[in-house]
Amino acid sequence: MFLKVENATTRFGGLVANDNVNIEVSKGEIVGLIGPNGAGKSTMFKSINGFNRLSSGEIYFKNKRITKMETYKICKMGITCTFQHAQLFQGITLEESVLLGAYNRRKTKKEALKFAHQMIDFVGLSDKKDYRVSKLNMFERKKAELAAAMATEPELLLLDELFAGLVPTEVDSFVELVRKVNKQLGISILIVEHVLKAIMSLSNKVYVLEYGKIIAHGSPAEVTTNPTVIKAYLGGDYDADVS
Amino acid sequence: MKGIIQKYFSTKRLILLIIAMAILIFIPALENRRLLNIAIIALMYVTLGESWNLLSGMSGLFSINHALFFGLGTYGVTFGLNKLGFSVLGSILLGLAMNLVAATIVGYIGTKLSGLYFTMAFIGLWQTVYTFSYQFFSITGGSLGLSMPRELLLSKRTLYFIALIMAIASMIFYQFIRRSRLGTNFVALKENPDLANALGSNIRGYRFLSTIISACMASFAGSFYAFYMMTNNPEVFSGIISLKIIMVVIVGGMGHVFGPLLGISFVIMDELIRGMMPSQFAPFSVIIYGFALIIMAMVKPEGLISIFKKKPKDNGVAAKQSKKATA
Repeated sequence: MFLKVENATTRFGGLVANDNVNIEVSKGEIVGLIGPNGAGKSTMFKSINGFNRLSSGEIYFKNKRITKMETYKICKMGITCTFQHAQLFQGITLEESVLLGAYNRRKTKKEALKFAHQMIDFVGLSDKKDYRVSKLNMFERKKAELAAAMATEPELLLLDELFAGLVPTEVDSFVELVRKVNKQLGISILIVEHVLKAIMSLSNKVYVLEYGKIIAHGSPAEVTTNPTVIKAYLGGDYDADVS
Repeated sequence: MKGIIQKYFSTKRLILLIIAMAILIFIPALENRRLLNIAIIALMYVTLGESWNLLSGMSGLFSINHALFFGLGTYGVTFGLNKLGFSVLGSILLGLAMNLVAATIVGYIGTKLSGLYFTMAFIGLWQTVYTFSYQFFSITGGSLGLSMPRELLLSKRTLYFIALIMAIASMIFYQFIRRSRLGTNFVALKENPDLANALGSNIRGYRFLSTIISACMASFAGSFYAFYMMTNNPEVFSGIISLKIIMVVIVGGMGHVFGPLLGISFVIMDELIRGMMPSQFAPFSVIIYGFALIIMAMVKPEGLISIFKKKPKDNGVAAKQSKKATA
């Protein structure tokens, strides 16, 4: 049992953002989490990361309970996330931003810097490492954020709408990059995405959320032909005749 | 060692440094008491500025009452020497200990609250200490203050060199922290605490640590001020000092090691204007530097340091890379 979310429920006052959600991720897998806007995907991510507290339910990572742990400790355990709006650290250089991630598992500056350079190389930004993050474009910022997250040496990466705001050709090259992260570094990935084409080609398994509940899960092919999912995405009036 | 020197000091920098050193050593040789006094105060503000810069410029915790740490350093020394009969070192350590207590409280608040709430809680603590220093005559000496033993009176020249060493040490210390693991974490904390947390940085811990380090630096400046004034006075806690510390850094450039060094031009200007004006107009000097500040804020919002900075993106990087390519 690598990552297991068990009956997770999150309430904000009267609003139930996540209702009895069960998610399982095995080691080495890429798992997608999709759903319409406001379905509770980001809330789920924040709960796994420790930014939110679950109202009830448990989260286990490598057989350890991480439900009420602090975010930085969860990161030390091996789960790192990227944020929906790539912000990174605007005022410092790309190199130092990634360096912060590298300090997660490395004590001395020399080692950390070396590893940070490796990660910047990995995403292909080594010629921009002395640039301030605020001077990078959206595509480079997203890559930078991925590099910083990978520098923490996670075993599980949570990618929150990584492809949002990118043009289709950039999405394609990013999909390749994410696949490379998974294959070469052996990092498991849980990914929230609106760009369905990308997520369907990447994932081994997909969960669909609607109104805080998991309405379907299975392989991409299974999920896309599921009438409930089509209804959730396109509305009830659509004739869900998928024969 | 040679590598480090080559890395940080280009020939141009080295020449500038030597000129600066020459001027700094030349000042006490002038035998001008007034100039020397201004220089001592200005150098003290470099130390205080670096202390504030570390907490607010680097770590992003806006401390509006930095005089709290400064004043506790002063009171520690006077109280230790006058009431408890401590040695000089002992009383400096007493000031440091008092600061550690205050910084622990402030830092603890900092881990729970952030932004404006931190500032408000800080004001509360400062006001308590300020009032205490005025009201408890038997302990703090009230508004009369506690005087220090006569034999500890130092010559202005000695004080000048102590202030100089402290200012240089604080600048080196600031830069050392900035380049270390701590500095990266502090800056991340300022830029985006949530992301820093997600990348494994213990933000509460670093907030706490930043407060403690900053308080200790200010404490040394405060202890020095006790030897300069030879007495204490509740005014060391006053808002004017806090304001000046903040101004020194903002005028110079926040989050940069040379910020406070450039910013003390503001303190020097203030003192010089006061000296030049007829005595009944002296308080009006505030108006002049008030205007100077407004103009500064409009023309150079990033502080005086922005005059010296190259355009960050292209020039700097291109120059660096071409240097690497040739090397």
